[in-house]
Amino acid sequence: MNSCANEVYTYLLARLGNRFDADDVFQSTFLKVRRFLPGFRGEASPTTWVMRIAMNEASSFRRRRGRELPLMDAEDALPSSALNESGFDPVAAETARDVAEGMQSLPADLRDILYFFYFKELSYEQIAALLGVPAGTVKSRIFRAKQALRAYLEAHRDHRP
Amino acid sequence: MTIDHKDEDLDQALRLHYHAILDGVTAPEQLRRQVLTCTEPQQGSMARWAPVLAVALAGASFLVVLASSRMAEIVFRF
Repeated sequence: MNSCANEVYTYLLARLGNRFDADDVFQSTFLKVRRFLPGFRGEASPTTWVMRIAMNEASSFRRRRGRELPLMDAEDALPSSALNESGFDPVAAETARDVAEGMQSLPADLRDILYFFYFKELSYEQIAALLGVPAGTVKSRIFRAKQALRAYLEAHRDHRP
Repeated sequence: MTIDHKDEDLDQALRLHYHAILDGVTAPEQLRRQVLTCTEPQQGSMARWAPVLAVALAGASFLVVLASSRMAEIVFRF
């Protein structure tokens, strides 16, 4: 249980966007894990099983709360590439902020897919196994997510003075 | 917007985004200890009575409000 705690917490932070909600859902996830552990038959790996519970918990948490807090402050989302020798690269900072904002506009299922693909660097097949969907669905969701994000960024560029 | 929306650029921007906000994130130690040791809240024998108690409390509060409004009515009549 301890081994996948960090993995689950990182996912929840990415999914929910702030530590307060991530803490709440982390607790409820592991309460469920303890409750359902006797029924765990080992069809999936323990990490996959716990991660699925975390995904369900995150979804029901959002449904209950009906709100979405920002996916980190844009300033928190500054990559190290935004810092050059003089300390700050406004171009990289602007890009990071736009991407962070664009991510917020995506539905949760698409954001999940991007997280597993770009951050966890899982293969299509691994993501498919985790989500219980065909690999083709994973590919099409990644495509849709990128398309939506690209559209957001284009629209954002058009409205910028 | 400064990013070119070529596929590789978007891929790169997404990777940077995630690594910027999530690299080095770990579950807080206290929280981790809590979930590994705690018991589920309201798992005791009183848990099943919680809804009954809630209804009883609501009923009692209603009666108190009703009684005090009647009392006020009687007092003001004099």
